[in-house]
Amino acid sequence: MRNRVGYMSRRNLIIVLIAAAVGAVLFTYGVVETWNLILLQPMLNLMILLSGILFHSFGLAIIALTIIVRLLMFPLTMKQLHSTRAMTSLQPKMQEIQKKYAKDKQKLQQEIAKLYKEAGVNPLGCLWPMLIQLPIWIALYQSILRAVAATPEDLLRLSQNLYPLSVVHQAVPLESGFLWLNLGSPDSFFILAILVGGTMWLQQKMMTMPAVDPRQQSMSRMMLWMMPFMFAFFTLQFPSGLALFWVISNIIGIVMQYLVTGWGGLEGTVQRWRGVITRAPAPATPVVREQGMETIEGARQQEKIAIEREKQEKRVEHGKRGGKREERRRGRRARSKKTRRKS
Amino acid sequence: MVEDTLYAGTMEGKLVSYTLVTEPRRAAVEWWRFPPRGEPGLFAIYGTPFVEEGVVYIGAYNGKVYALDAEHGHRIWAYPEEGYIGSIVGSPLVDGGTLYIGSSDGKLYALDAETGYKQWEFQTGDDIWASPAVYDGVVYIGSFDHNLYALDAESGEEIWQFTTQGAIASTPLIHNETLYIGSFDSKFYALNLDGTEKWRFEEAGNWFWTKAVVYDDIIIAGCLDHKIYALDAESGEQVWNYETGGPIRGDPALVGELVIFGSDDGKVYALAAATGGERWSRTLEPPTQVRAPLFPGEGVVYVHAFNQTIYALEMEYGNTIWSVTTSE
Repeated sequence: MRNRVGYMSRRNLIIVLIAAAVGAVLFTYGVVETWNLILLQPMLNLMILLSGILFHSFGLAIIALTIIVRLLMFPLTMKQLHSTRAMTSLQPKMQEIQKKYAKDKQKLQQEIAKLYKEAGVNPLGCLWPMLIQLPIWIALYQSILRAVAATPEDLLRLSQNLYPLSVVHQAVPLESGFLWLNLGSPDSFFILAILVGGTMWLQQKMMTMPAVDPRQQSMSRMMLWMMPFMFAFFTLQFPSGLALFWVISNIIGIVMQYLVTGWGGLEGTVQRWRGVITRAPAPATPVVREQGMETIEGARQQEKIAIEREKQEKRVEHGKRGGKREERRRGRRARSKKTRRKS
Repeated sequence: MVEDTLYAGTMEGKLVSYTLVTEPRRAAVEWWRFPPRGEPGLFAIYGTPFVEEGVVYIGAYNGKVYALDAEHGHRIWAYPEEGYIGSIVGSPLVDGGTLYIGSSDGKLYALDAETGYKQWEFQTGDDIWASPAVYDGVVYIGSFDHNLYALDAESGEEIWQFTTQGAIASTPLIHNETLYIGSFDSKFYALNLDGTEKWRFEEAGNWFWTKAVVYDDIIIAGCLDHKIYALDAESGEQVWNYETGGPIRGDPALVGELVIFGSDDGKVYALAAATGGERWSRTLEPPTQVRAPLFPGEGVVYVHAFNQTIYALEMEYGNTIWSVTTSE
């Protein structure tokens, strides 16, 4: 027995044990009960508890819980981001291999596997963290909907999901007012819809890495606009508590993305805005230059940045020359005033 | 339920009037519905209609109070005529020509029952989903702000307030100069009518959301912990409890020596009020939940279930005599 366990790494053993425990609970309680027991109820009760601590504000509780869940998921998110980045950086080489071995499928597979091995990249590396996170996001989404409890039916259902803690029971029903919002109903001012769409677009834009394949390019372009529009539309239909969660989650996602890949697909836009604001040549970050130059699109982007920088330099130089001319004019005016007074 | 007419608010936001007939067989025949068939409903009607002197009063989830002609269902007045107040979940109560009703905007409204004009309003700190009770010139109302308020019925001025540790959504019961009410803090309270606490029962495992009934100095109240509790009216000591398969949300009905109530497990139970011994229990078909208060008739108990069906169960054994769907 010891030998058999010996073959299994400690990490795999933990995974097997967790899977066995979940399987046993599933077998005993069924799918819905297991889901409630393991994910929904802990999250729901934590949110209500947070609301009790945070001045009985459901809005602050949603923000706090989103941050906590995001922090807990931080290692997985980072792993996913790093894997995605590594996969993107292999794209040009992958294109080359695909072109080279287009007719020999077996060789193509071998070369791709070799490429992954050399680069130390697992093609499923960005998929697993995403799959693990998915149920947690669904549970968070459900717990917000459940905690809102706008109708008697919802409140009755909520009562059956609470832990027997007096602090939790005393906090319910939650205070649904937050800033200008009623967290139990959609935001009638459309502000949240704009925020959800805007932050999602930013995150998507940052994640969109330059692609060589035109099909992939058009796909990313479509996703860049479709997702924010879709979620902005959902915001108009769903309770604003959920939309608040989306906004905060997107903002945290943007920060994490920035820490890993910098501005990513937003680099060009950021450089342009920096230039407009400071009216000075914007320094290019070496990370992006190295990363961007690996692909055609990246090279084009760098070229655009260089042109833009050149333009700004000219503007600044023009501004300096203009300033000297202005000084000379002022001097002449002052002298003529003096002569008039004397006369 | 008034004489041979049954009034029921529906989840589709309609108020339906049924006339009970015995020929050719016992059944309920729809007499009118407000708004009429084909017209949009008032979101939902959670409260129980109040009927007095040929007028039916009801509060709707759309945030309006309606007074209707009991005979034909014609609208007499609505409050407010223009716009809406907060969503109404509780039931109206008419006493001495004044209608009292709470709203989700946190206000208790006192309206002239004849004209619908506002006499006064009282602002609490949170939503009001409870129904009021009136006794000896004082209105009692619970609020989500954890307080039970005692107000002067004439002027709406606050006399006292009693703070619990949870929201209050149930209706107070007044018996022998004592007020009985449960709260979302899972406690059941007995208060003197000056607002001081007499006793509290702390052994329940979830919220109290039903109005209690009293039988021979035993207070009987359903709880969301799936149990119905019988407590000594004087001391608060537990006399008996009975466990069902779901939370008990609807007010029980007391008929003679029986206490009859429904549960979210889809069953209707009849227990001996003195001992808690089960006389009968019946599962409603098709399976559903019971969340509305039960109403007793002559040898019959009426159950409006969550599947939008009214069941008439005979009192002796709980068999279904007839059932009618309230949805269009």
